[in-house]
Amino acid sequence: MSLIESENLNKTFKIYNQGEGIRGYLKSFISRDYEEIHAVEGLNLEIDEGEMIGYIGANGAGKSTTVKMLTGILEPSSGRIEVDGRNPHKNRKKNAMNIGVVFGQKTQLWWDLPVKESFKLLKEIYEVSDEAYDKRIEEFDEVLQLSDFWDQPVRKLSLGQKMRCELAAAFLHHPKIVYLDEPTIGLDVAVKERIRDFIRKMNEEKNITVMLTTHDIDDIEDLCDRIVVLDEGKKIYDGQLDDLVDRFSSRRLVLETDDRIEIEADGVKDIQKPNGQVEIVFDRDVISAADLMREVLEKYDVSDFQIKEPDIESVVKKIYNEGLAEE
Amino acid sequence: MGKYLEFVRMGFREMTAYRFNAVMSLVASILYLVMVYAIWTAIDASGQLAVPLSGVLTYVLLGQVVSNSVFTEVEGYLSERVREGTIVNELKRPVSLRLQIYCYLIGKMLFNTLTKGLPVLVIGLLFLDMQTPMPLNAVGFIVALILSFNLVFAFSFLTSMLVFWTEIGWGIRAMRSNIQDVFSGVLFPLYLLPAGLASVFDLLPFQAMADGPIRIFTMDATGREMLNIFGLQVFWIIVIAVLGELAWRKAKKKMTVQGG
Repeated sequence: MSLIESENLNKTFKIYNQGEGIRGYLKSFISRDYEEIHAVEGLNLEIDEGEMIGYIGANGAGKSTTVKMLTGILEPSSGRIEVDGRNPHKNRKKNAMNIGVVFGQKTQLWWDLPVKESFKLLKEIYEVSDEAYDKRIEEFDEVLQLSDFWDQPVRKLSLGQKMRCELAAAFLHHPKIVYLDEPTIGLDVAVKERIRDFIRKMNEEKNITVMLTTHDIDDIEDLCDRIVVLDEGKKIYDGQLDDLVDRFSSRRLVLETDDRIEIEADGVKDIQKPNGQVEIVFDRDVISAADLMREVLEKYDVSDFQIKEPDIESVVKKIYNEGLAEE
Repeated sequence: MGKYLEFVRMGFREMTAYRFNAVMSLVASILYLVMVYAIWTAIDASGQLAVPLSGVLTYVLLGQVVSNSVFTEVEGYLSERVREGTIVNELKRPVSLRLQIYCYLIGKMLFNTLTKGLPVLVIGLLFLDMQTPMPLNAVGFIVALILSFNLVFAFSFLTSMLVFWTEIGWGIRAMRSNIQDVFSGVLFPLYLLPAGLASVFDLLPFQAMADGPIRIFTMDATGREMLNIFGLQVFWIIVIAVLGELAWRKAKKKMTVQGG
């Protein structure tokens, strides 16, 4: 049995419409029309222990709602969830002992108190022994460098410093599962790097299962083998990241040339001419880059060339914009 | 047990971060008393006061001691978190939301008692013609204060559940605390009420919040009567806490959690 399982999971919200102007406002006291929003629809999910999965989708796709249901904060409208054999909403407190959560835009640190106070609270809540606590804080400090601002009130920390604390807070009790909801939002490259190192280290060394929602392509590329893509509440892809990229984008051969290029070979899908260069879109499975290059060089005069690997960013952009239906 | 104490500590600790705020609210409380004293003294001078002035002044001052110390509020705490969606942070902890808030507010209450309640009491003992209670009533006063805190907490928790529907807490809080001040005896001594009106007040839970503890301190209620006050407090705590629990169960279903 998988560590996290959901079956036909649904969450529907009612959004009330307030009419316009004073009349609409008064009317809304008496009768309110509402719309039903299907935040998550028919979601099936299986995540095994030790996995690190990327959970992606455009804004409003239902990622956070899923995380809130998995953490037991929201009750599903219908469907089944089991996290480590428990219903997370009915056994919210038991489930909470087993998990760590970072909501990237909602700090759990105590705003006016020194960082260490928030950690002392966590230590008691999650029943971490003194010994383990000291050891772990020291360990976290090595990667996240918390001691620089350990005694400072949280309100004085930068966003990056706060997020480093949040990460440490989520992993402090070595939970079975950590849900990270946009942990790198708004951070600079160096901090992102450090946070990713930390997440990878915890996953590898402590076998902590990580579910990561993010809009940052580098996060996914760096950390996740498997991704789940959500679109308007429905799962549209679940599998290896590489497969998705292969399926979605072809490689491109970019040429520097003055000639008009026309190639008709199997596997060549398109020839484009953005900003003075020529880009030949081709399918690697049908024609190799070497064969294609040979054919081009036989006929035309080329001063420079390069091969563009498919990048995940364009794949994800495409999915967000168009869904998976095409190609 | 450790985790609950830790929430108490955090509540207390957080208040120490706003020391200036604590000083200001003590000053505000003293200014309020000065004004109220002027009003009651004027009423007394006009010959309209049928009871001794010193008793009224003592009562009003004790009302401030009680409200400064144990009148707590949940609405502000919840509405801020519900509006901004940060309530997820409370809900992801392996401790019930209610106990988290309760323990945290105990911490704040202890701080308020030390910095706002006790100083006003000392001022009263120094500058007013106030009797100190007998030892048994002094202990009774402390017990009544503890029960009063629990009663105010239960009531405020119940009204704060409205935040999940309205998403705005300050209006609810203002209404609750104004009503509470009038009916509990913080605003004026309840023994001045005519008999008819007094019997209406008797039916409400507010009297047990301030009037009860004050009467124990002034030795107006001793022995049996003191126990009656405790009994009434406990009765209302149970009734209102049960209603609060039912409301919370409904609120949980209603919860949407704002934003991303």
